[in-house]
Amino acid sequence: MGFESYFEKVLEVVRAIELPILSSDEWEQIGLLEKCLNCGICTMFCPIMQIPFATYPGPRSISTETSRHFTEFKLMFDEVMKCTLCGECREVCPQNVPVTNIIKLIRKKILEYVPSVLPFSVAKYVKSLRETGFFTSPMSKEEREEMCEFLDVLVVPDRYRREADVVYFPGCQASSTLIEIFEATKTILEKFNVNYTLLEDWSCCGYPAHILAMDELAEETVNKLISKIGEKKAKTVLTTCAGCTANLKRVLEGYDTNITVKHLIEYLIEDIKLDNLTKVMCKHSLKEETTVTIHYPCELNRHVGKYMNDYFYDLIASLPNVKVVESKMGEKCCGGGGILLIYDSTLSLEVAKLKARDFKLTGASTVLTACPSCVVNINRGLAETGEKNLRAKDISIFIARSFK
Amino acid sequence: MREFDVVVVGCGAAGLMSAYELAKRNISVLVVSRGLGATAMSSGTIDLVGYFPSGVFVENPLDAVGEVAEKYPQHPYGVLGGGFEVDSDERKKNAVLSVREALSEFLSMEIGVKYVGDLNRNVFVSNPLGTLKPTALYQISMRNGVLENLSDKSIHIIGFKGYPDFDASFYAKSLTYFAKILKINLKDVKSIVISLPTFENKHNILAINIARLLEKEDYLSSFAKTIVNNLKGKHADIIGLPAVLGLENTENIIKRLEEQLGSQVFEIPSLPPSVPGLRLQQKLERAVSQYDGVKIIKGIEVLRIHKRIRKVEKIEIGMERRREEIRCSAVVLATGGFMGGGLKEYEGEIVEGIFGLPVCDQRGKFLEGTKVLKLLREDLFSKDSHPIFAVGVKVDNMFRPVGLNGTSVCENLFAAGAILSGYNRISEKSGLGVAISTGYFAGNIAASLVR
Repeated sequence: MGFESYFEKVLEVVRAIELPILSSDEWEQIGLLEKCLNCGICTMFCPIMQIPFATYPGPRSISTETSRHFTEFKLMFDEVMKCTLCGECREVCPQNVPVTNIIKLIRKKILEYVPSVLPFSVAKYVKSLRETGFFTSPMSKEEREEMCEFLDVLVVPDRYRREADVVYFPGCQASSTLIEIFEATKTILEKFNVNYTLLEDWSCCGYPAHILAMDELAEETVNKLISKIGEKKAKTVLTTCAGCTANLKRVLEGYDTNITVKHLIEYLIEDIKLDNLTKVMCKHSLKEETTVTIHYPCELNRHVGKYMNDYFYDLIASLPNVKVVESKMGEKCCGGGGILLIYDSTLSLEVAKLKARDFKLTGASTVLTACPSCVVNINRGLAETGEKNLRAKDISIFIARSFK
Repeated sequence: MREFDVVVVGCGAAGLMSAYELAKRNISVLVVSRGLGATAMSSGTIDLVGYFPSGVFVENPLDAVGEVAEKYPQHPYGVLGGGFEVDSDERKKNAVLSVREALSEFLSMEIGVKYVGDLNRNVFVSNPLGTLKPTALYQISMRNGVLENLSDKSIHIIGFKGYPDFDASFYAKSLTYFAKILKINLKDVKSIVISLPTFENKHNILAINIARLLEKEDYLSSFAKTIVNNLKGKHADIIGLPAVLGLENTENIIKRLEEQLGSQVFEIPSLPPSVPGLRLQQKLERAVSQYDGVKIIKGIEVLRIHKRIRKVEKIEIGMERRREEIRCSAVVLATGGFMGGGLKEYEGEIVEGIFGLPVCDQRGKFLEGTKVLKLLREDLFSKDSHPIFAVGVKVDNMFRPVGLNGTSVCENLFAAGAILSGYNRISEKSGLGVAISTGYFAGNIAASLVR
């Protein structure tokens, strides 16, 4: 038997017993697990492992189990879905083992072989993404205006241009559920006379599909979006969602374009500059001193880079009449990442409650963050712990409201 | 481009100690680290010297530092004393002075977990397997469990059901056995396993989760009640628990437990992931960050070093989606040994991870082309430790790494901690002692250079 036919035979057997077939890239990923010392430092920092009742084995177990027998992967679906992909395990790991990449790989392999394992709560979003191109469908203009009236938010007319310097990409959540972020960002952009445009026709950035490890769907969605952005001949894509920022930055690294993706925080610091912001803010400054605390979204903190934390802090500290009190767990995941908010919302809430208790200790009146998912989940946590005065707010809303 | 006076690479005991020294003098410091290392994994006890390189047990660690420095000029303690350039008597004197200075600086930090002990006397602290290790300093929670404090007392060892890192009955038997060898009489060592509230029917319980819950008043009292119920009226002079007694208020928790149980309580240092290790890590991190002008960033890697005429000018750090250059006047390399990730294996040989500095063995011989396997013994638990643990970079008497020609590679690059060669921290039991004293010294030299 020649090698080729022998190889075919082996593949046939592998397929018959449904062993995962891994590409060489994937083997390389799994090979990185050999560096794991099994020391367990990650288990001390994992946000999900903080919850005593969570049946989550933690990064160490996933790493050590997987490096020994990857074949049992099918049994690990519930476990790998409970990871928020915050990446703190990698940050504290002495050997820098990228456990979150492995978790994504296991998710991918399971969903390739047994797609039906996806629970309905998650599957309906995937279906929506596949059919409409949106994770959550955006509101129509009329709906949005009505909603703004209800929320007592200033409506800023949508601005569409054929070409502009900046494309503002609000993302799914800011255009469907948390529309105040959308309006607030437009207010800020108008205030600083930014030559910006919205996209008439857009789609999701594909991040939810990426974290579910549905690579093809993610790529298809994001490619559609990037071609739409390219038509506008813009240099900068402005985002207000941490997930979109991290994902678009990751994807565009592989593209040969000069488009840069900037989160609102980055844009305010690098392009508008803090001096200008402070000048405008001084005119409208808040009458009383407000104490705020910061929640650093993982997707900016760990997936984009630590400099985002400094930017975030500097931005808030530069606002007039605002006092920043840092909390102990400010950089810890709120439990809303990695689809966990949809997959297991009780567990997600439990993590948020721990965050909420920590924020309360600071005595601040507002928790500022820069990610719609974090806003939602932290507010759930705060409400559940019976906190009435403290609320989480997106940074764009905080700035725009003080313009009033 | 951001600018810092000094960049410290690594945030273990050595790195943070030197950052502390710098920050104290109002020098701006950036501490970058790729992750946590051996300090966070450690048992939290600080040992100066437990055994001489010859294998003889050390009674007085501070004197032993002097003797080691006298005999071995290439040992970090010898370098602290002045290295090859001074005669042995002076080296001995200087080393003792420097180590005492560094350790008293550490003991004077009022933040975080409190350390007790005597630098002039080694005591035995038990490991989770019931074996004994000599150490000079230990956390206050371990005080009642020091071997000499256990003599002629009845002891109850408590294990937790579902907590995998500690076996109470194994510990009890093994402790009795080893205590007998050292002629310490333990009256009665009993072990019980209790089922913890909130963790009933759970397996793979993490020490850190118990520690977090014990910080809460109501959990602490139900925890104490469970122990009392399980003891069924039997009294013991001392109760030993695995190291789970809180992260912040350990002293207070022990006091409360002692009140409720009516016996003394001590903690047994645990296997990694270790709560006492994390306490030490947090103590140092907090001590450093109380000063302005200090920044600790974890989870980033040093990608490149820009050198110019034997001087480090700037370093390039890599974050997930951005690279950044940082200008600095000095660099302290405290990346650790194999555990911490400062040394790496590359094509079967050992290399220093960032600068590519040449590494040498315990005697100071450069390891050009020596394979890793030659530095390992066949017996994993061999009594004379593996030579690989003594591998590291060679330094001059200013703690500047030297190249193959014997002169320093850069004028403003200093090394401290487990990255240093010339000592075997596993067989000597000198890991954290060397880390703290060399970190302190490197920080001081860097400070005088920057000034």
